[in-house]
Amino acid sequence: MDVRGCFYLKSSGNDDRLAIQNALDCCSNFGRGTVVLEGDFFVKGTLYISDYTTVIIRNGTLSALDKKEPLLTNSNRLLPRTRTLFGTQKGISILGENGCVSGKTELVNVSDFLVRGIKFLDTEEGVFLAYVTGGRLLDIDFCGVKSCIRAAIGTRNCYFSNIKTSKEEHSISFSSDRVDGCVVYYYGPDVTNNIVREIKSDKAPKSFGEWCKNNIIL
Amino acid sequence: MKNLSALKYDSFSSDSQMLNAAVMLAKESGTLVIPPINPRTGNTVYFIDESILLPSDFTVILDNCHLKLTDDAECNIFRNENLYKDGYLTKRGEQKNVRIIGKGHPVLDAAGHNDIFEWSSEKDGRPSVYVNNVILMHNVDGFEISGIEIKDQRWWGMNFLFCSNGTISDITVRTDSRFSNQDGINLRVGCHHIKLERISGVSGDDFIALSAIGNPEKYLVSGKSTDIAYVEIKDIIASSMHEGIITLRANDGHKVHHISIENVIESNYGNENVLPYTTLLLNQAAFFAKEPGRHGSMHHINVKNIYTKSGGAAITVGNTLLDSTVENIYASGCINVVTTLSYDHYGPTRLVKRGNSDDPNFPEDGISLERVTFKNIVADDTVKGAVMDFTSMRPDDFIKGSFAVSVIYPKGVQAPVFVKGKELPIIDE
Repeated sequence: MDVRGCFYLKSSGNDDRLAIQNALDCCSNFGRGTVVLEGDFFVKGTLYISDYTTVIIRNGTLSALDKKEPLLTNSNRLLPRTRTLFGTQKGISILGENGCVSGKTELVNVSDFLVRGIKFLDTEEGVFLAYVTGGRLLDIDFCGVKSCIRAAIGTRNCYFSNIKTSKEEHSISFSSDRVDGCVVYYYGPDVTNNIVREIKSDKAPKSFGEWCKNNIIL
Repeated sequence: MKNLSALKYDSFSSDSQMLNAAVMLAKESGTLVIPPINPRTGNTVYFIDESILLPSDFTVILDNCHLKLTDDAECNIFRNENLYKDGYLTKRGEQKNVRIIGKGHPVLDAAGHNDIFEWSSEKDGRPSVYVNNVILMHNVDGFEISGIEIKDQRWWGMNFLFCSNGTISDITVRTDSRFSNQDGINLRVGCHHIKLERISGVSGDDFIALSAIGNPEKYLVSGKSTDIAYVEIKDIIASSMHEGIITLRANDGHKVHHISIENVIESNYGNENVLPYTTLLLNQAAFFAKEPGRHGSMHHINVKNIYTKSGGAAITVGNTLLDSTVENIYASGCINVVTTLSYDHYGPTRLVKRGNSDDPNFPEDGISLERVTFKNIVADDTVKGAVMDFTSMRPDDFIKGSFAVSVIYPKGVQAPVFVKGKELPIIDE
């Protein structure tokens, strides 16, 4: 354990979930921290990220061994408070430094988050957002991903910039429709106040739903 | 690159001393990383009671850390090192290439207060209120501030004077407390060639202010223009508790010109008590030391894509504007879309028209326009007043070579209103 709050991990070559989660839990216990994954990592299951925690994927790929479960998500998803405004988490960052993620990232009931510099590979769904605010998704590539960014119910006040996709089904889809099993009481369904620019894709961003409005798509 | 592990932590009695020593040690390499956990105390917070002074050609990387001012601190968190030293008011004193880069989610936290407000500044032995800027930069050419949260600033969050060739990006401003003058970012006299991008949050006072006003003798750099020019502001999702979201002012012989403002969304982040009096203020004959700006003091201002949800107006125009365009203004929930009227708050949720004669800070409303185009001004049915209200004009105001194209408003919203003889032609497209 590094007393400065930065954890530098190397892969075991097998399932690294426990080692990475231990580092993430240390950050949670401290109240903030940074976990750097250097090289290729393999994870069976889900990694849970707490408030003010930064995950950096450096010079390698973080791969989900089970692509049906989310690979990365926020830690309050494990708690009943995830359905409440009390359970909003803050300051989660997922950064790539020549890094890739092969698996799904889900952020639900999170504010002021950052996903930057990641290449998402070979996964059905890249990023799923719901009930989030104040996020930045910047400089992201998708390759072999069917649904790149799904900005679902309650996604608001976010920036989506310099997003590059290959020939996928959706680059970004905004939708205020209800999502089964996903609710934050009193948050409201509005998908609004988002700014989208520099999307390099064959598929333009799409918007669905009665409460989807006032998003600037350039 | 240096980090704090090179230091003997025990030898410092405060976090500020440690960080300033770390900057000195890292000067040669030019980069210092401040990690999430304070190695001196094992705490997640670095308590700041002395400004961290930044040299030229230096980058400080805030690696997901939390720097907090102590309650009684009378200092900035960061400022450039030459400020207030011999020669700081000369070109010779100019610094170069100062960068503060956030990684992850670092926070510069000023919660609390030391009772140094604008009205108590330099009184009863107190220092200048300039100590309460979270980041203060003066006479710096080449700078970058990015990826940080400014929280509960005690005065203006960031203050730049005579700074140039810089980028301010990915900044979040969060103001939970309530007292006057909690601006987000101020560009003051002498700032030019600066880009602001992806700035979000809510401030107490003006969120982003470009104010070429006053004659701050302690900060005027000899030989440098006092104009604010060539500033690009884009992708702003923000609001102000009480004042304007983006405000431009040119008075006291200074000019503001060649400013581009694009993609501004008013957002209260779910707090219904947030009520700006305007999304965008284009000039104002107020807050001057000697005289309001003369015609020509604000020119070449290009505004595009403004989304307003509440407040007094989407666009408030004042004093003088020349050779400018304002287009794609989409307004709902506000009183007027484009207006010369100034509004003020009576309590957090009410806006009233400012008294012109009983408020010494605010002379008469009005605007002289020359070669200004308004295009695609759109009100929805929740706008309470007029799509354009130019009924408040001064006797000498004029409108020359200016017009509006495509002004759209539903039934129930008042048509454009002007003073007789000072009408802005409206052209249907």
